Amino acid sequence: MLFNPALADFVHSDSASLDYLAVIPDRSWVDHGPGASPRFDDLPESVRLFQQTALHIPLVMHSIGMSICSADIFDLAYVDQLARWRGLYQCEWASDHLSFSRSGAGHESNAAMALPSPYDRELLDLLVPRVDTVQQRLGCPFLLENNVYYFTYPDQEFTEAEFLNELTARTGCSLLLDLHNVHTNAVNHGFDPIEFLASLDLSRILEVHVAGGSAMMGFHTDSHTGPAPDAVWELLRYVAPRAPALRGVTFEFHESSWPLLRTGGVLAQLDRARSIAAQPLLSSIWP
Amino acid sequence: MALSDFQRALSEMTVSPNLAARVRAEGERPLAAYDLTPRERARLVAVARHPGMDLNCTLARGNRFGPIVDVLPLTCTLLKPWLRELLEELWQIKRPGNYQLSGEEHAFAAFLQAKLAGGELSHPYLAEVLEYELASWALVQSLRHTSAGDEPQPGGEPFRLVHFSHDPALLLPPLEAGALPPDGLPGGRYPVRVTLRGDTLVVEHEAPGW
Repeated sequence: MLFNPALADFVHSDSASLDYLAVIPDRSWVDHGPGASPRFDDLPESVRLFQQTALHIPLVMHSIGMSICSADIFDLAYVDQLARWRGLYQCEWASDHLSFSRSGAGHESNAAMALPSPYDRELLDLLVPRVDTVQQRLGCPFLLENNVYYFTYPDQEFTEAEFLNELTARTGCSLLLDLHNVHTNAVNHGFDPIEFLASLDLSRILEVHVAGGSAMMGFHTDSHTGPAPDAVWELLRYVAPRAPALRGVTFEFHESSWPLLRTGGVLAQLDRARSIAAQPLLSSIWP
Repeated sequence: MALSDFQRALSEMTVSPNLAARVRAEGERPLAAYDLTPRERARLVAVARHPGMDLNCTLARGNRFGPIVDVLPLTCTLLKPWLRELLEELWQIKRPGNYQLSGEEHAFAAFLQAKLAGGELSHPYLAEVLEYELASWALVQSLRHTSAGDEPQPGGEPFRLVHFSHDPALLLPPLEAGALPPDGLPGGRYPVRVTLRGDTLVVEHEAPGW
């Protein structure tokens, strides 16, 4: 499960139901920005919560601020902050997003959301040395998450699956496969998600995300609303037996959905994930 | 510089729907300030004309609005009829500065305060509701930055004084319920002490006998 503030009581009362807890480390500090001294101020309340939780449950990191696809920003101080945090809690692995939100070195601005960059060789060449550096500094497996995207770029040099396969092969990094992102993209852009998954090197997957979404402006959005839909569980049913390195399935939801889910709803999602992830290969159903 | 400028342009189109709309309508011309390859220009025009770009703009604005409504929910309720217009005006000139989107709430508060001071915005309850919410937020922030082992601050529980000029017992409950307060509340002096007691904010009238 991915921690959100609505789960503060849950992780104490129901920690036995969790095999690990994914946390967004960026929520436990204030980042005053590149060049500031000190750059990062920890938030003691969050630190305290994670310290207590880490005594009982392994933590993994899912950060949001690396913006690893930014052409003119590669923030090593940020990476070092993640490494420090990883060391504090002995996180098994760390992940971030294959996207950019930050741009404009020197006078940084932000897009207020994660944006995809075109899957071209230029991006691949930018990412390979960066991923190597991140892996070295973190000292643990590093995963990149596939994007959700609401528009498509014409004339990209790689398909998304080709790009992910090439990136993971060249760097040795792992994949955080967000199945709700796959589902969302498939619904919005009209492709078969199983065909997409069949073209992806599933051996690189170390973690899977499942989540729910909602309709907005004629699109299905990755809003993390409520439980994951059946279509996402079907994708997990396809992936899990074909992903030999898979170590975790993480359910994520926005804290505003807590009244809808509550403890029983969250536990039901975790049980469903476990029951599917433990199933053997269903080759009679899937090609 | 090309990829860098491509990303800057896309980012700007995301936070500035006006630019996205101009590119949609005019094609490459509004992108002249960016150092782009022909393929990048063509991609940005295609993106601007894709219906998903409107959604992107909306989601980005929703993300920016999140910290504002979290910190200033009553102010947002009070301004509901004009809120969209005010945010549009602010976001025309203020871009998000960091990935944590920190400072969005203070930028909005400062924007409203400047408008009130300059007479551009007139609302009988706005200044005091805003002051109350900023004081409450400052106290909550002090809690977030306090370690369990910290010594109690001199003087005991942290508090802020807020000077209402309308009875907060009549002003705040409707706003807390998501409704506008009644028009024409009588004016007066209503000093209030907002105290952080444990992790709870307690609002008490400062003047004895109130």
